[in-house]
Amino acid sequence: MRVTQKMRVQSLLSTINRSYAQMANMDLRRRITKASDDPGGAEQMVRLRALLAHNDQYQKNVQSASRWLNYTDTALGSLSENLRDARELALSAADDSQGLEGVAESLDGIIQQMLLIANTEQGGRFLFAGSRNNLAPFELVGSDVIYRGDETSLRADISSGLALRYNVTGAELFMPQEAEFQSTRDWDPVATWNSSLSELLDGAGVETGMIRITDGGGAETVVDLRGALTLGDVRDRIQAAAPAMTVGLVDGERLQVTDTAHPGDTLRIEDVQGGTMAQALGLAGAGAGGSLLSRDLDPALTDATPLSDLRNVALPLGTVDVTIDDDAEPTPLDLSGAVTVGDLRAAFNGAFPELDVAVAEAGNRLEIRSLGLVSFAISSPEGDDTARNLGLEGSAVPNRPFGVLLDLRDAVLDEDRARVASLLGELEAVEERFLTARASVGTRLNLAEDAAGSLDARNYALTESLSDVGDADMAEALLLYESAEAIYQASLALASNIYELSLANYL
Amino acid sequence: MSGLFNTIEIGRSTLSAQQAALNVLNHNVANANTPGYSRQRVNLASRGMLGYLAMSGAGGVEVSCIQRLTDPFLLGQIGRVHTDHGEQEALSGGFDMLEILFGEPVDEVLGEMGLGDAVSEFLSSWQTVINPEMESDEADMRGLIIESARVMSQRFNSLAAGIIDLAEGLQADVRDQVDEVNRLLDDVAELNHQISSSEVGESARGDLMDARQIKLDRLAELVGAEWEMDDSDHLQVRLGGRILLDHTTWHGIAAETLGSTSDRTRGARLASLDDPNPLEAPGGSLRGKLRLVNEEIPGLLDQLDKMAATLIDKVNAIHQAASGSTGGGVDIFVGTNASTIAVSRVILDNHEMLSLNGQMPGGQDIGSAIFALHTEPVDAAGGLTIEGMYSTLVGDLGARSASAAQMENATGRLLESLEAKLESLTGVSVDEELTDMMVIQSTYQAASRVLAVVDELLETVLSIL
Repeated sequence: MRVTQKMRVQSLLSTINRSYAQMANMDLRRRITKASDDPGGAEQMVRLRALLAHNDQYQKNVQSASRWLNYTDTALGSLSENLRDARELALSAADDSQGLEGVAESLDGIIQQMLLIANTEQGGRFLFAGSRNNLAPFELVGSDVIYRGDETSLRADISSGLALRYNVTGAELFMPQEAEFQSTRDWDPVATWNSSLSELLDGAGVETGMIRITDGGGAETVVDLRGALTLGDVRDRIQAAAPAMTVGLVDGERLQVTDTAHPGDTLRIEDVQGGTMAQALGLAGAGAGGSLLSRDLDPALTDATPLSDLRNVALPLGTVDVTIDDDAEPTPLDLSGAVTVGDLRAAFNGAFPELDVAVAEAGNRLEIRSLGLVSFAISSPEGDDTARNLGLEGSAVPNRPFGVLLDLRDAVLDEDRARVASLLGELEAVEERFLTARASVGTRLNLAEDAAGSLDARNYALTESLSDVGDADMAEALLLYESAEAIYQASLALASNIYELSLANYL
Repeated sequence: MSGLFNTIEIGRSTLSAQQAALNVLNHNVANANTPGYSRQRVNLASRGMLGYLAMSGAGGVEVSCIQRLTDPFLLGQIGRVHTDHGEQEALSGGFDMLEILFGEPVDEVLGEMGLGDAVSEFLSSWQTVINPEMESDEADMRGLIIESARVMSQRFNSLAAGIIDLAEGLQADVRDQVDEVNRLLDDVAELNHQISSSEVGESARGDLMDARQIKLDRLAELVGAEWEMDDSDHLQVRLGGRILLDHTTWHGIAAETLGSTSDRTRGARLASLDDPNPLEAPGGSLRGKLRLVNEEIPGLLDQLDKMAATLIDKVNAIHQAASGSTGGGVDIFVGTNASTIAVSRVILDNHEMLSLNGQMPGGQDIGSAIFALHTEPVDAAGGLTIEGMYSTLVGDLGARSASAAQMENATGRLLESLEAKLESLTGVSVDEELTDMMVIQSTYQAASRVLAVVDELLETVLSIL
């Protein structure tokens, strides 16, 4: 092959260019400097960076939320301490042998101190003001403490779909709460054919739907229970659709579906068409021996529930003693005439306008609360255990963190030692309230800590992946660089030599 | 019987032939570095001696022709590779520009921020957890969210503007290259005219053909034009089956812009000036650029638009639905695509219109709802999140760019080796020329020597007289 000068020049030039370009484009830090270097890797890097950004945000959220919770925890700690001091002062003030000098001033100090804590501020934010936290939430006006914040829960997302509440509102901590307590006993009303489906499962209710019954002979019947209102409706519809079935109530607790045609075989019931009714009733499944039993249906109390339907309440009822406020005499309340739960409520509410009796949230007992901030107690008169029988024996005090302290101070100023003594219970209740709040803050702090741990781990993993994908292997890059450089230098040396070689030099 | 003068004539023919050879050799050396130059060779032919025992005269040497060394087959191959290379080079150049616009993956160490980061930052800015150790009020937090919304919108705008600029630049390139094609056709026609002219000498004709070859190569590189030459040197240039040039007459091509003036990017196509049917460039730089303008860039812009539109719709819907003491119920973003996305005037003028603690109908905070967009699949088909749309876009662009760059590289290498092959045949080797020169020189010296002898002989004869 003929080789001309131009060929030599061109081949040299292309070698020089290539090795020079290789050197120039080499990045010792980054393996991918533009997307076309490794499209898949670049895509992954962009995605990882987004994930990392979100993780960073979650980390920031957890950090900030933890700080809030920590400050809240500290504040709650000193609140408890102050309250303990107040109680000690109250204890000594209640004792006739102790003097009262300086006690009122100390109590004033404690009130001021607690007000200060209630208005704790961090970085221009008031911890206990809900979302209106750019203004001091509490102010002592005369003998009243006014709350200016709101009841908003502040939440921080600490991972996808998980939000952590990081504040405690002033309302939760300091706003007066009425005295209330509920029966200590589950009255356990029985289920009847009149029990409404929406009242079952302690008031949670059951959503009606379609069910399929497969009898022992393998015959399938779909029963449309949609729109059924009572357990009686359920019975009627099942028996109408599948005449061989009998539906009964066992112990006033459970439904029983029995296949009379195939007593020895397996009976199946399941939800169809997206329904959940059989599942909710506990009827879904297969029952050997041709019958299926539901779960305990636990209907909720209603005003119409006859007292005779309450399995845990012994009849007849007698009289309970009700004491409103500490210093009042007990008032007997005769409950023997009550036939339904509604009668019971009416008896209480009619005799004591200060009280409100209602079905508790659990659905299976009553709850009594004071209207207005009075304490009350229910006790049994001699030889009558109606109150105990109803689980309603007990007392409740209102919870007025500032109010009780102000009252205490006034009582000390009035040297009313009896009044001081009567406030001790309320003081304890307030202390309890702060402790509960603090425990909940502690739980949330733990949650935040756990979250921070897993977010850190995720951050590390993401950063590592990002580095795996995007960072250059420095040693490898250096070696490549050096080899490119060697080629480059050799080409340059060759170029300067090759131009000297010409026949013209020898002619 | 021939005389001594005939012997002198033989010597003279030798001298002039060697001189001609030396001239061509010199011409070769002079053009050793001229692009496209094909070396020329003097072909010598002996003039036969006349008569019995060469006694009747004549004889000597003459220049039979000056041959231009070339290989039409190789030239055709090079033309086709030029076509491929031109297309890939144009594509790769365009993709390169697009990659630079996106700047992904960004260099974190240098604190660079891409569109993806701006989107992440905007979504994160809604997580208004108050850091209790930093003084910040709601005005600050609103300011932060609005600022990151503004930054993100501007990212979209500038990226879209960059892409549109690129498309416009490519449109201008297409027009320039179409003009160049027409100029080249004109030049080739003119060269053909000169080549065919009888007044041109052989060596000069070779030079003209070299000049024409450069232009033909360029035509191949630009539009993928193919040429064909018959035995009588009659040249035709074709483009996708249509004759652009028939030896000395040519028909130009034109670039037509498609779409309306209201379009952000407009397509383009080729047309020939005398035929209404659209003209398809079979390859070359123009085809690469047309593909960028007609497909790649609108496609990319479309993806970006989808991302922006999704963000606008989703964020606005959430903000509209939020209820709270202040703000909400209005759009945060205006616009419909990446070019027009912007923070609404209402929000910019009155930060209070931005809902900071609003509640969604389901009880979720607005901040959580907007931040949750980072996990919500928004693309019905692919199940991608907004940021997923972006990373896919980047990966896709990278893959196209990488494949174009690879093809450019491959065709470039092929072109290089084919050109080396051609150069090996047609290029000037100075050493070879010098060697030839030595031969010419010695022949010239020998002929001179013969002439000197003849001169002596003549003198001898004359001295007798």
